[in-house]
Amino acid sequence: MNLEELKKLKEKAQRQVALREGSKKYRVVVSMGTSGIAAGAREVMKSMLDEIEKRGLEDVEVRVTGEVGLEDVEPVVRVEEAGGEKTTYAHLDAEKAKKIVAEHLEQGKKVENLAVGKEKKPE
Amino acid sequence: MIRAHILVCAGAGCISCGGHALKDVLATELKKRGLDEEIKIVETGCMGPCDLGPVMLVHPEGTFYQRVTALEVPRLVEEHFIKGRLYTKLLPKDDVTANVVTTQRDFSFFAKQEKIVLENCGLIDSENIEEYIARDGYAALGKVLTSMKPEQVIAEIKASGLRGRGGAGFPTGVKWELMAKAPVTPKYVICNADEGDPGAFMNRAVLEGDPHRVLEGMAIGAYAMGANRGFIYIRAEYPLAIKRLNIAIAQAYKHGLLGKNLFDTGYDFDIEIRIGAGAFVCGEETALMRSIEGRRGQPMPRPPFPAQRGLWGKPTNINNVETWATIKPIILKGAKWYASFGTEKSKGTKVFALAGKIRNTGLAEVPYGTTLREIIFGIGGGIPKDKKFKAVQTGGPSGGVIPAQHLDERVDYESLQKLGSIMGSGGMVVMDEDSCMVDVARFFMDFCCDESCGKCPPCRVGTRQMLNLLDRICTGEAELADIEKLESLATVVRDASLCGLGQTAPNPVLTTLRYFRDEYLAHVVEKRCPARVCRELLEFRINEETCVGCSLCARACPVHTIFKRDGQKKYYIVEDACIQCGACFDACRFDSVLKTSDGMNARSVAPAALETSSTRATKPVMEK
Amino acid sequence: MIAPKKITLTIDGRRCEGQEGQTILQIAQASGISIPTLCYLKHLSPWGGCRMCIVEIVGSPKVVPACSTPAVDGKQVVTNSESLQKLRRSTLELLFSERNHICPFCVMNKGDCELQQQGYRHGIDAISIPYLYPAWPVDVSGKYLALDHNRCILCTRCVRTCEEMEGTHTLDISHRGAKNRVVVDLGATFGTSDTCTNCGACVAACPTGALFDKAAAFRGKLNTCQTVRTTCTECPVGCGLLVYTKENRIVEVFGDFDSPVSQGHLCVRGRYETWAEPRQRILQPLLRRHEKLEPATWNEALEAVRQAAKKAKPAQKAVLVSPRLNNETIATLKKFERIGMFVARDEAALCAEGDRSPDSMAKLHDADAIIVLGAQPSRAQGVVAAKIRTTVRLRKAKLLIFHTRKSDLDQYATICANVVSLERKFWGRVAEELKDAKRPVLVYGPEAMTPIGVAVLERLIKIFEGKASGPAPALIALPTGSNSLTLAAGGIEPVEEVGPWLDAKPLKFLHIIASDEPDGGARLLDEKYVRPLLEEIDCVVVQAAYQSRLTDLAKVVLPATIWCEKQGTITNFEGRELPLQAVLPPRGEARQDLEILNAVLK
Repeated sequence: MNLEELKKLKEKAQRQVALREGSKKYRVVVSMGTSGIAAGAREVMKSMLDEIEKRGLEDVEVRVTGEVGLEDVEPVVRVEEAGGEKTTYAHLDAEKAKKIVAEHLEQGKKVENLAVGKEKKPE
Repeated sequence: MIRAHILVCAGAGCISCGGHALKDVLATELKKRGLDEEIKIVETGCMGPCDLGPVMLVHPEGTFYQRVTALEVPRLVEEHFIKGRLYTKLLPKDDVTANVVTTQRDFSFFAKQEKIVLENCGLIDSENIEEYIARDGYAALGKVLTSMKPEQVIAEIKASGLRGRGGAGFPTGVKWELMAKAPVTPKYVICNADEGDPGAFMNRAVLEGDPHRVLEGMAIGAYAMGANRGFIYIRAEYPLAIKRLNIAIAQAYKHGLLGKNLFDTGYDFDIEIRIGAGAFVCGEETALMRSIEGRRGQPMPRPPFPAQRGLWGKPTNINNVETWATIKPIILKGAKWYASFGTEKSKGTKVFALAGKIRNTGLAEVPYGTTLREIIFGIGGGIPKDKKFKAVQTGGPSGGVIPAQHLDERVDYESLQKLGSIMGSGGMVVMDEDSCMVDVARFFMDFCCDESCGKCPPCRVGTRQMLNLLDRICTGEAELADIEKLESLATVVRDASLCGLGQTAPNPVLTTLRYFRDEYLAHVVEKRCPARVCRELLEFRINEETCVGCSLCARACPVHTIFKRDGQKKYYIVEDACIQCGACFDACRFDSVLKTSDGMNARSVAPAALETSSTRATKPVMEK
Repeated sequence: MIAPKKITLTIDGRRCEGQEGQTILQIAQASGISIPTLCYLKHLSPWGGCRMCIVEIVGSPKVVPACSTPAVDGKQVVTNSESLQKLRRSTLELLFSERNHICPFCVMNKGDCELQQQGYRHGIDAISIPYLYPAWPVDVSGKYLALDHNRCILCTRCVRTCEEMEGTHTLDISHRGAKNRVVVDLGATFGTSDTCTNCGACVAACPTGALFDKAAAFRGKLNTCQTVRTTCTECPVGCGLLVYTKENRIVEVFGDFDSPVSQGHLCVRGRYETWAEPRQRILQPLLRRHEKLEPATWNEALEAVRQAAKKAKPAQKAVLVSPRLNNETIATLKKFERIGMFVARDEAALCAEGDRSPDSMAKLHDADAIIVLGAQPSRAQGVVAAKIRTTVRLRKAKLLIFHTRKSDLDQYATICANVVSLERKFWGRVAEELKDAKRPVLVYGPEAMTPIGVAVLERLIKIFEGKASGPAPALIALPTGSNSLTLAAGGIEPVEEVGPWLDAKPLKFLHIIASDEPDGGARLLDEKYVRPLLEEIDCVVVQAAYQSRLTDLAKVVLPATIWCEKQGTITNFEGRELPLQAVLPPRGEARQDLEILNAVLK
């Protein structure tokens, strides 16, 4: 092995363990309260996970959380950006979730028609 | 996509309390719930807090769960991974801040540590070289081979102030330089992984949790010193470490990181594992080399030093696992960075193994200069059951005992030596008020006596004679002159013995005599054991006020000497027949069995009689 | 080679000079400063275990053993400070307390025991620590050796001797700490050991009474004995003997460390068999009268021999001698018209043509490749076998063995082949092994003179000739008779088969000189062939030290001296002339071989 090969191997391997290193550009938080699950949050999440993998996005982590207080618009997903900006998407399904991945997570364009509110970066 | 990693601790501590089973149960549960494609389970090396095991860490959140038994797994998975809530039941409580800890970073045990040697332990899969490479693995070796001259490597190590972590604390860079200058070839490097101190397991943790770091350190050192062959001498009692080392070596060869022509520089380096057969003395470098040569593991006088005449008469460098494991970060981050940790003479960090009467048993890596109090109370969480701290024994069986008044001493090589102890491999055995210091000294002397190789008479016979004297003190048969005899023997063994084992074996005796002489006198003069440990000096009575007559004590008594009072629901012990085994004391659920050691006072003997040799006659002779 | 650097030390305030590489002890001893030692022996590797030779080096915090610490130029060494004295005394007390060192009941009492001597030297008259009184067994199962663990101080002199001098590594230490003990093999006894050669070097090395010679036990204190140096005549190696005698009896035999050949080592034959074996000595002349051998005076016996000799013509007279005879007998033997020397099978050619290489033992010591062809040193020349073993095991020489009989050396050989079944491609391997040999030695014995042995020898020589560089091997012939090479060189014909030799020319008078052959010369007596021939001869005179079937059929038996009574010289396999020094006066009426011969020829 030479230095170049080691570097390549390191880059490949880092992808596998990146999850443990913290700070990603996007953090997707799926609401998994009882109402969320009932409304199909798991399907939404699975579809997002598949899509992220398919598109090979690396700077994204997906977390789950309990109720976020938006029961009537579930399934709800919040996309948190490293800068602090947060976007909440509601009334999702598998297809809409793919769209979020394709547009917001890959291209950085918010899917305005799915977003329910925008939290500004705290000053 | 994988959205979460569960890092399950697969250090020996967690495995022995169910870590492997936990992994299997977790895997089954995740599969059952259809989560197996989104969540990955990784077995890592030791995370540190061994008494909380089995432990696991969930990323990306960094949630740390303790005592995760198989039964708890379904609830845990349901709560954490499906519903996205913390499973609070298994979250550890911080002994220092008394808060429930939600992430690893908030836990004082981790927060107060400075992990350099253990940076990967508990974070990567030790059986997967790629995870090590992801954390800059072998980058230091690559850097050294492609851009540094051997002298530069040695200069860097010298500048870092790194001192050997095996115990003696000899400057590593100087040792390397001596070896590099030796004109004879071939040369060898050896990793000393014969960690034999009872209560020390930092080397095991590194080998189990991050074996590649040791291989990389050895390769760097070998390059700097001009060696092409290395040996890892590891004790047979570490099967898991051996297994993981073997896997690591095989993977390193497969990736071309060991063997011929490393990094296309034409430099060759091979590593072999040699398994020790369980002799403590084989951790001594000359004995270790003889053992590798296939001979009886007995130390040889130095000089000549291994750097002059070592393995098969060739120049040889031996460093401890922890020393080798420190090389990689020094090379990558620089000597200056490393030297910024620690004290003036002791640079960097040291892994301590906390054991004994302490809340958080396990491994803690801190910079030199951290106080004993910070290590024992800040990280270790103090003494369980709110008992009083009495002493800490540092440096393994041949280290010394340090009492409470020196708790604020900053730990480094010199300060410990000043207190009569040694750094040793970094073991810390904490003792509380229930520990008898004479018994402690006897325990360690028993160990050293048993492990003495027998080559030199001071150690072979001296430790045996000292043990006999300590036995006499513990059983109340000793006279005042025996303490003097013990002290003078201790100095002979210390000064005349051939190797470190004998030279340091009297340390527990000498330090307990120095700091706890009153306890010795209590045993010898008053025939009592203040900590109520030495069996022959105990008396057992039943407090008939509180005795409920349950008969547990009578049934536990192996010599049937506990009887029921006629017509009462009370029991009593016939003291003459009692063998002081303590079975009744352990059996009683109402604290009605009293364990006392009042010795001569209880028998109201005139103090004048204490100093005479007739002391022994006043005490009933106890059968051993 | 660069001469070692001179260095100067200050030992106890005295300037002492030495060379770089020497230990503190060596320099101190050379300067006449005595440092007490127990585990140290000059010819063994230093051990540093007994802690008696500890010294202080000014500026160094710890004491160091003088025996193993290399001297460093300019250092100041203190050997006898108050604290060193105390440490030594305490160490000795610990040693005395450890096992049952109860001097009055020990074979080594009063001066032979080094532990006792150290006790005296350090003024130990009482021990302040309790005796441990362990119950150790005593191994007296060996034929010659006995081991009393109760006297052992675990100095490992025996262990190192066994490894470094005999090379068998029969002895080692087992267990740890206070349970340490010397073990034979892996827990065998001397009686059941597979590897012990009974060389007895361990006994010579033992500082106390732990290892002792059964035959010598309680025969007398060595320091009250007379000592005489002589040469062993059991084989052509010619090892130096140091014989301890008292009141005209042998007390014990040790190797002579001043011997240029053996440097103190011996094999079982020289060490024990010559004196600790029961053998039937012939103590006076015997004359056959009325079909019976009866005691006679020397005059009667000699007269009978002369009469018989006179009756025979010179061509009908012959003398047949043992290869043990001294160099001095050669000239006298030549007065006979027919002289034969009886040798073992295949040895006639070896004796007549065998090579002698000066300093063979030193060459074997320094060799990096040793080839053994058709010789059996571990049976016949134990000290050579020991040298081969140690050279191969400790100095990592290669060993190649070609032979027809198995031996214990085989296990150390890189190539070990039966000469009868050699294949062609095999020689490639042999050549490969010898490729880098810089100091090769070829030791060959009788079998090398058989046709197949000669073929192997030629092959080997071809390999060496074919090598681009590197010297030819030193050739060392190894016959079994102690002086056969010299006698053969002196013109005495080696005779393998006595039958045809007797048959060739009918004899009327035959003088057989068996000297001190252990079997009394009986080995030349082939019952079917030789006995009838001997019976046909008018007068068979047998000159021997021990009774045998041969002496039984003699007409006159003349008592010869044995090794310890002989005077003269022999020349060993290296070509080195070695003195035989009479240790004891001849026993009974025995006389020197030469003296008898001269009397017969008068």
